Amino acid sequence: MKSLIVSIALIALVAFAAPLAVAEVTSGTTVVSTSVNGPVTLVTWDWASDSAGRVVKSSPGIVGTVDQIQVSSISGTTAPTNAFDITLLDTDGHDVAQGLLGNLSTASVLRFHPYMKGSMTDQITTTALPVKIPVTGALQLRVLNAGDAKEGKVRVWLKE
Amino acid sequence: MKKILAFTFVLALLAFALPYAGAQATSGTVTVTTSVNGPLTLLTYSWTSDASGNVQKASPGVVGTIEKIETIPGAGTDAPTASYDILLRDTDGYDVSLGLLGNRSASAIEVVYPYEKGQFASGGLLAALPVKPLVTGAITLRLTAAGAANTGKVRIWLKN
Repeated sequence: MKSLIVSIALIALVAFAAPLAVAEVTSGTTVVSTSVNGPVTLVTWDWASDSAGRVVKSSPGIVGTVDQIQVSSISGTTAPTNAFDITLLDTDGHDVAQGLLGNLSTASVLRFHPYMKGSMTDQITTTALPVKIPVTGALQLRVLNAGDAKEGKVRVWLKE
Repeated sequence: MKKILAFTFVLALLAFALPYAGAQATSGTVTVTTSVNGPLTLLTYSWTSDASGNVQKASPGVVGTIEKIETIPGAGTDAPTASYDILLRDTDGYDVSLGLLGNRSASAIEVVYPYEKGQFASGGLLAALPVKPLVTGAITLRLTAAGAANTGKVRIWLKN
């Protein structure tokens, strides 16, 4: 009887604690959508920054290699401050955009194709061996220095 | 009775609102067709310019990498003005033809194969690593300086 009570208490504890453990501290207001078309998954963040010019928002879990990233905003009063910064962090905190989304211009729609460098065991030079970045899990959008209540869009295409 | 009235009101509201929600600015007269053959999608815009020499029309949603783009000017008195310009914009306004369709010939069929460059973390562009632009969504044809009431075709091959 005692062990039964202990078991129930543990289950109850886990049931209450688990949602709190995975809760994400978000900044700004962001709508995240995903669409899958055959081998292509498109993740879109429509973001609005908080008063400190920040955005933090995770996508649902996704699977694929990063094929293309596009950053856009509408010119006018809601356009982010020039030279704002974006990172796209996987669940280990690795920026799958490879640092390419720093100091972004708001003047136009920007397109990126990030690659890592492959490593060969025989120490041959590696610069000619580009590797696409795999993702299995949520991607967290982080925007910094965008200004107060600014808006923009980030789209990431992944391929199976 | 109240429910029927409410339902009718909602239907009427939708009937009026939907055309405006999907409304898109168009110029000239354009017929857009798509044909899918296995992994290949062929998108064809058959256009006639307006009195200002402009054309604008969005395609239905398409998915794939751009393999090839062909521009075909009309013949004889229907031929567009020499050096007319074309943009193919995605839903963010990014030109997926990468600026290659400026100054089109008024008489010759022309073909382009657009590629972007992959990037490592250092930000260095990989001239030796061509990447085909990926599209998921509508592509808007925007054509300018073609002369009044002239004709032509734009064909885009995409691979999924």
